[in-house]
Amino acid sequence: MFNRLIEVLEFLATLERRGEKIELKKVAEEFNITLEEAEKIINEAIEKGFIKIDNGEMHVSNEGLTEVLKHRESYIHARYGHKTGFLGRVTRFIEGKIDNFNIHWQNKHGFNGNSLDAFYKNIQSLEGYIEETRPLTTLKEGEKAIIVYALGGKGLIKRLSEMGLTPGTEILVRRAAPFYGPIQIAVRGVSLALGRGVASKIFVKNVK
Amino acid sequence: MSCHKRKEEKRYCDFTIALAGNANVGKSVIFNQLTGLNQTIGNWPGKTVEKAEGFLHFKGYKIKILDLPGIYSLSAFSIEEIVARDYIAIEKPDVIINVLDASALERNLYFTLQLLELNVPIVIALNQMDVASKKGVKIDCEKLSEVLGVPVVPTIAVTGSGIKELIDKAVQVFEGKIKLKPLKITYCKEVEEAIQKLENQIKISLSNLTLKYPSRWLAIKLIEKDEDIENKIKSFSEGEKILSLASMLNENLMEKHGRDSPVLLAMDRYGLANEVVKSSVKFTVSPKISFEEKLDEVTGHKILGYIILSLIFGLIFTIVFGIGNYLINVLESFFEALTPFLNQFTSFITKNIIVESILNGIFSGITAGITIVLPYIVPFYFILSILEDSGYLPRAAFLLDSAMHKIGLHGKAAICLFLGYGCSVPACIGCRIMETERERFLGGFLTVLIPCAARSIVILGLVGKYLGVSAALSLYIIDLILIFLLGRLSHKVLPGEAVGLIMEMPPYKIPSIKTITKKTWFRTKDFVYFAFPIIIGGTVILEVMRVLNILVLFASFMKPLIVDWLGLPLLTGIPLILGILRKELALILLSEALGTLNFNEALTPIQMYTFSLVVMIYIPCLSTIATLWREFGFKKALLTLIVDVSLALFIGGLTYRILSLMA
Repeated sequence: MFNRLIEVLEFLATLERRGEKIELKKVAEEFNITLEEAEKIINEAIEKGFIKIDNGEMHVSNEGLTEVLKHRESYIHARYGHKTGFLGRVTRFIEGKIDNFNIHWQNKHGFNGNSLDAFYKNIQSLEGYIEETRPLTTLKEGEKAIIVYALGGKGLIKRLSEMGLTPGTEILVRRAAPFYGPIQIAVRGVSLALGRGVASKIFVKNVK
Repeated sequence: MSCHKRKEEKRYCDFTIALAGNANVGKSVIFNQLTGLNQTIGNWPGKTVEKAEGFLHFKGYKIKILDLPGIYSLSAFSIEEIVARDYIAIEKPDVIINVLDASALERNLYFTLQLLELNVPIVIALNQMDVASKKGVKIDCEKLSEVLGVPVVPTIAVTGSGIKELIDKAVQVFEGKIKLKPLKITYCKEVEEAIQKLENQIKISLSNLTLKYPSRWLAIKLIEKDEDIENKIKSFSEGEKILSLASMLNENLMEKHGRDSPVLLAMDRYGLANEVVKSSVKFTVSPKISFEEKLDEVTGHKILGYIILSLIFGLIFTIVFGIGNYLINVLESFFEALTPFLNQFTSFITKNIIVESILNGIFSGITAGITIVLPYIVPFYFILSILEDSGYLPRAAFLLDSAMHKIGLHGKAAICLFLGYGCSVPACIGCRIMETERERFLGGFLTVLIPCAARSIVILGLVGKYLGVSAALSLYIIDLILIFLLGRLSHKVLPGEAVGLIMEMPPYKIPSIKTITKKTWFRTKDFVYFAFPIIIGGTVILEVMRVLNILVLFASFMKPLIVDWLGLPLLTGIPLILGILRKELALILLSEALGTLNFNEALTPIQMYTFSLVVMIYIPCLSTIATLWREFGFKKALLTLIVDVSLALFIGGLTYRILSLMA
């Protein structure tokens, strides 16, 4: 279902981050496959230039890292077990931006062109590596952040959007209840309580 | 048209105005102002779960006013949203008053934009202007009206300011004196293209459906993946074709933007809402932290919050119990002094033993109703109204969310459970604020186990009065433990997954004495009107049965259960059965069956404790059963009944044995 190659790359990148060596055996163990199968995958990665060999040691190349980051959202999706059926397609997330807003109402109602530009900028600033994002639950009290995306079923996403928690929205964490309780945030001038489970599915990035 | 045209009909009206908007913006307050009725109001989102209607005479018109449940969008998600949306989209009220919370304009406009999209005649009530200006939000109403293309009237519903102008504008819209030029909502390029393609196709193949809904709106709903609309379209011959076109277009959007199409729509709408706000609102930040925010900080605090929560509930218990007991003593001595005169009176007017017993029954029914029921009910309703109005309930829900998750529910369910201490019926209906069928049932199932005011009367009037406060408190604690265990169990047994909490936290408000007194009065009045006839009827039947000596005969059928298993006196069986009508009836009839108001003479402490415990659990009263049936269907209502009765009998018998051993 999910691209095994990307999953392996993700695993290898994690190994390198931890300072461990890349070995076929580890790959086979992690994914519960035979050494031959692992070798096949690694060879494919080398062919595509995602892994380069340096002094007989394997490293994830820059291309490989980029590929991993690109697929991070769907990777998290797969990990979280949300089988929503569009895993492969979500990968274009980082290109996600609103193109041209129809300016019909701008001309008609005399909106300020500058504020419109600011709006575009706000949306475009979403571009960036998923690496920078983290779950809302990691924010401390009084911290501000911008929503990048939310994971979850159709119903949850819809409810979140309705309450104004759309990508690009700035939020402020007011307080968190103890015992894994809900988090109170301020968004669009309203105070909202989000259950910890819901909050952990919302990914945010720092305000620049 | 939603109105009947026949003049002679009582429900005839010239036209209809519906109040719509987000939850907790003040729709019901405006409704009450307009109609003079008393729709329940309070400071927590989700009070109104069914639409309420009333009438208003204005400028020679008879206008029907409808109060719709609060919703955040026109995509049908929970039951109350479907109620509101179906009404707006299908029955088409003549004018919609869209109530907005001025202090949270951007979020409120999201819904307004969708109303504009549906092309319905709307007037905007910009409510809570006072709260907004306190927050430092200054709104240019004229500019806002110009941008949106519909009339905007600033109001402060609680004081009634702006209400007359509001209804005046609504009437003018109905008469066509004000021309609406609703803002046309356009989305980003690709979405707009997709909508165009779908709309063209819909116009060709679904001309029947477009009579009901605007075709562009249908197209947008398909992009939004609205299941309700998808199902409606499916029933048409060319429906499948349109649906497959829609899913193809949605996939394209997904490819291009990397986001699900409903999210794209939401982003665009919020973008527009943000623009509208920027065009007409000035924010002046107030530097000092308001009192409400400080209060919020303390009541939501990690440790202090829980201390305050338990203090509040302890205080409620003490106040209700203290005031209730004091009032009971005063009232009882009054009625005791009255009794001899009344006995003389009855024996003076009639010698017929049946008529005499009926008169006696009526008298003791009224006495019991006044001396046992009212003293606890009135202070309790008063405190409940304060809690509701202040905005504390959502804070309590916030603190209790993690505990609620343990029993498969979330924080909002805590609000329903609190309401359950008042009456199970509204608490059960209130479970509609939960998102899924599973949670609604789980909430309803557990709510009926909470001792309602009527059951509290039995607990306080019997155990509390004769065995002391701590014994009564122990019953409440046993009940909570029971609910926790049952909830845990049913959470494991019921299929499905728990849903997370997403709840708005309204700002604190100082409850107005007027509203609270009014609410207490109407709740008490409802209670008296509904309960007293049943109480009096029940006592009369029992009194007649006692005189004719068939009471013992009847009771002996239940001997194995009542005497052998529960260890109660034989005659308590009758009050237990008739208690199904109303729970407090069990206590009143107990005095009737035992022939004394002083329960010390007829019952041992263990029997009192067991009796109260059984009454607390065994079966919800008739009206609750009916509510369960209506809300969750016959099967689930029956299941709840069976579980509750067997649980009560089991625990009752067990308690009797344990307590006997201990004594």
